[in-house]
Amino acid sequence: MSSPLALRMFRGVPDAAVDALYDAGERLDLRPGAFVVSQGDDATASYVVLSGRLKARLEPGAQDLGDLFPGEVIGPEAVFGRKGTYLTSVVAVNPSTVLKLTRVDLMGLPDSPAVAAMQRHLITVTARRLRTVDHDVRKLWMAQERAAAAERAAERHIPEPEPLGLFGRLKALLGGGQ
Amino acid sequence: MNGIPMGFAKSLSDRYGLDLAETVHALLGQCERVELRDGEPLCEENRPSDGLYLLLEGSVTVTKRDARLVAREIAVARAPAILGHMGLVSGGQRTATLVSRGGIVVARLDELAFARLMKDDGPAGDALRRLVLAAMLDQQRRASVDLVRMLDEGAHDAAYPDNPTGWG
Repeated sequence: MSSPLALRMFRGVPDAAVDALYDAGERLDLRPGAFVVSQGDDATASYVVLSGRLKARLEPGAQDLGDLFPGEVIGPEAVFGRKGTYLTSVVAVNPSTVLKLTRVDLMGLPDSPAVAAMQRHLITVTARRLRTVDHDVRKLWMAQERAAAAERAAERHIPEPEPLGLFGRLKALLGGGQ
Repeated sequence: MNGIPMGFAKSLSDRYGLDLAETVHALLGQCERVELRDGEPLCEENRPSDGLYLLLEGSVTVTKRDARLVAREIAVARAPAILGHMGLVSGGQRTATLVSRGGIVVARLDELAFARLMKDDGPAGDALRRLVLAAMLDQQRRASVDLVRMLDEGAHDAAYPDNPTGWG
């Protein structure tokens, strides 16, 4: 499966519109180990995963942030956000295919139902990730309060903050494990 | 809503790295102008989301309640900014309280217009989705940078991302 037609985000979108998006972009076939983006590089394109499996990594240490599967969008800010750099590296695990899209590519698709569907999909996904962050911050607040209260009660005893699973939250935030 | 200068639409568009001044200006035509005095709430956390706000003038204080329902000041949002979209896209309730600081002017897009435009494949819908998405990606970027810093520091020191654009 290397056509965006099968992706859930394009369900209900006319085939012709999805085909036009596909034609506007550049299809890249990746071998295992090939990098799609590298952390810190200028974000100049977004990539829709069409097939295969990729992995997001965070430097230093190539920390594993989780796998990326068909339908996920790598570096959406390159096309839909402010100019910046890629926050993580993404490398192919299996033979994979991605659709590379730039701002210029999308400028050639005014009023495209496929682009609109992609925007709605990304808004939903990003909202979910931000809610996760929000939940995490509330937990941190609670941990801080508990620690402060314990400190007040027994100045000589400062409890360790409870494990908060921040790494897992970061994985979710940066695109792994949707 | 009439009388909004093109300069505001351009500054809002620029803020989020977009090139949509004319379409954003047209979008503002579908909004209602709201003015609040100092201290008046624009929206309150956990109340139903009934619209999105484009902050035209002034600034608002952003607060969220912690687990003990104590309001914590998170940030100050200054014009131009998008406010109140998180509640609309994530289930209908406000995620923060926004209070006017020294008086504000906002353009309010009601929830029905928001829902209609989100489904609209034309230029106005595209402009709204781009604004909302850019604001959310901006907040996500800041949050992720902050979380990386927290991991580097051993995750013992919490600080809320200094970006109010997604709250409310």
